[in-house]
Amino acid sequence: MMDFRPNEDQIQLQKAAADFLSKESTKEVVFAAFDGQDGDSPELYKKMADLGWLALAVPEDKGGLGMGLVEQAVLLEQLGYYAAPGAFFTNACISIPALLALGANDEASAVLDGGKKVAFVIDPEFVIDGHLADSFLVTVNGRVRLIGGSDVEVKPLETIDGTRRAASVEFSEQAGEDLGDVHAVESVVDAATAILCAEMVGGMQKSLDMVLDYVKVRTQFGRPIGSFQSIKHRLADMLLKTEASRSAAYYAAWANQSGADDAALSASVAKAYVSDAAPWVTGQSIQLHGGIGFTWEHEAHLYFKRATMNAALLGDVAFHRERALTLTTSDRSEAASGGGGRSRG
Amino acid sequence: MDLSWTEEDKAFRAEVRKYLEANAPKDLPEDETANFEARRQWQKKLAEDGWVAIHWPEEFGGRGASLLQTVIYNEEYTRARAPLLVNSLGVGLLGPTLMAHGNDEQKQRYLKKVLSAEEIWCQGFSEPNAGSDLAAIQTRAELDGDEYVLNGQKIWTSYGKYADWMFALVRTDPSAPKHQGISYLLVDMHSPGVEARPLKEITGDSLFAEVFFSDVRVPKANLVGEQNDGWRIAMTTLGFERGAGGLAQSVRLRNSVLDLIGDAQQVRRNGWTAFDDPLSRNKIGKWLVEIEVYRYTTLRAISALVHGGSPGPEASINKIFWSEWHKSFTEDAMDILGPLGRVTTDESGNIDSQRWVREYLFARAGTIYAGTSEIQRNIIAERVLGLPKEPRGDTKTEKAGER
Repeated sequence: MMDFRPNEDQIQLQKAAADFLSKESTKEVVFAAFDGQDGDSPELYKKMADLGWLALAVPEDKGGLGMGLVEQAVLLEQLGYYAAPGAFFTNACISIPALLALGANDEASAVLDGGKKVAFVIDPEFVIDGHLADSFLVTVNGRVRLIGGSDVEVKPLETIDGTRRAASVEFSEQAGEDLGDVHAVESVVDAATAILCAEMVGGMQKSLDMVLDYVKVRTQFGRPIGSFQSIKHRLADMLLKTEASRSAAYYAAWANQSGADDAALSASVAKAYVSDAAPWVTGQSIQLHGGIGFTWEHEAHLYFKRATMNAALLGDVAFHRERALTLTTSDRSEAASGGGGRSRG
Repeated sequence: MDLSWTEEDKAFRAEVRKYLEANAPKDLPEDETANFEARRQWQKKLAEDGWVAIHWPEEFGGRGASLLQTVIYNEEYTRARAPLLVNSLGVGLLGPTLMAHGNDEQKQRYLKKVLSAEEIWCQGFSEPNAGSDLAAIQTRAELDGDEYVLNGQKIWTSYGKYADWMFALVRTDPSAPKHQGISYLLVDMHSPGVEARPLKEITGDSLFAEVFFSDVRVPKANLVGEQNDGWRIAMTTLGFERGAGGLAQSVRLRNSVLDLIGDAQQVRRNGWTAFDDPLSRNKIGKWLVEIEVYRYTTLRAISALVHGGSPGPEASINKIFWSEWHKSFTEDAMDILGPLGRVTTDESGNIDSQRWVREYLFARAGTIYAGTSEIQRNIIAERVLGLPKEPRGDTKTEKAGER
């Protein structure tokens, strides 16, 4: 039955996540991670692992909570809203499902209880959360290998988003253990792409909420600035792009969860759209806050930087536009991995 | 959250698709009048087979279809590229209004002939001084015995030159606050004193007319609902139609992108086809992506409606999305097709450039009619986001009256 609304369980999950994160991923925690050594908050990561969140979408017989991608999207939207730092997304949404898809159940269970972190390597020059990883999933000649951290030369990279950093890695192509064909993880990457969009939606929503509060109380020329049409129209556009992004992210999460015909297309559609919209919406938040929005102490820049970072991950706007076009105009099976010669990394 | 269609939905979709494949006319005449008559015949055929306004109750010629079935029907209708209903304003706007607010005599008298296109309807809302501020209408209707006497002017009247009837907003109490002195009246366009003058639009077509009333006598029986309650009546029936049409709109606009993909392969630029040019591909990819996102948002809106929500001010988001999309898309289409895309003579090689020029120009109307993008943004800001209103110049107004 056609129903786009979150169900009761999803609403409860959203509330629980918002309640937890409003206390644990506070502005102080996020800024401390941003200004810290590695952008991480190990305490927050540990607490989320203890809640079972890393294993939210893992089947119960593999030690998870047995929920789906839509629930994972609900959770990640809240992490985005509270700008949660650290390697939660990459481990929960890419590495764990990739290990499971490759049948590496023991490795997966070591990650899902929070004890170990694995980075998924698309481009060795820029591995998101690579600086925090204990081991690495790499692709060599169409095969996926799991390489222990001691066999990988890791060079940490600071990024525009201090809470989401990366590393460049070097490794021998013979190192580690062969886990299987890369085709096994293609749907994992599409699903993760959809979930990343949900995280971006969270940041857009937070930016919109902050601006809305501000323009209702900030007075100039004897009126709240939110009564000026130029401001109102900008906010209307921010809402439009935020809600459209939300529709796209959740549609893609559902399509990938249910194995719909347009699962791959919907992931590319969502990522192309949201990667365009999120930097714009979060950037408008800086603009509409005025001078205060340009200061380090205000949160507006955290969301702008996260959106800018995420826009480039798992394929950028150009990659996913091309892939959407290719999926629409040519044979699906050939096009599924394609991006017209563009790279996802 | 579950976006799957039921087996029943799928079977219904297959039934609609089969009917349209077998019956929808393919090549309509170019000539405007002949085209109109062909579409009138098509609607007559549809009505005989019970495939117009399927969500209407059976007693008025519909099938009592659910909202979801209506959505599926509209989507399939557009997918089949079946011709636009010639009496779309009667079916889409007048019919639901009469069913909600008309009396039994009015329902019996008008509804069946709306479906069969035996009587064509036009909408008499906008006036030269009442556009975005619709409640500023000045066309006057004064009661004289059993008849109203109409004087004034309507404008931007689609189908004005073909219409047999107009549903009009008229001022019946000039002393009341502006939203409270308006009535909803059915006007016979063949009455003495009615004059419809075609307007020529930037496309060169004449889809609109100006309609002038000089002492036009309208029986009191043609009043819908109560006198001076016309504003409320006009506003309450707009939402449902917008909700049910969104998905079809996404199909229609996606068809345009698919057409552009076809034509871009026929145009050579810089030594390769426009479709092979990376910059063009990026643009086409963008519009494919955005129209797909529009489809998801309409599914979300439909889901809210099906499960008992109201379309509410969120309909404004929908309107901005598709109308701004269409304008920007056609701009890129013109860029991609280059000089050949601007040719308006019949013989322009392999592509239908006349169509692109017309679509490019007509898209400029989408962000104006049925509430400009600017008005829609005001509605979103004030009614969804709760932002303060701007100071107004018309102090007699008791509430916001934008369309």
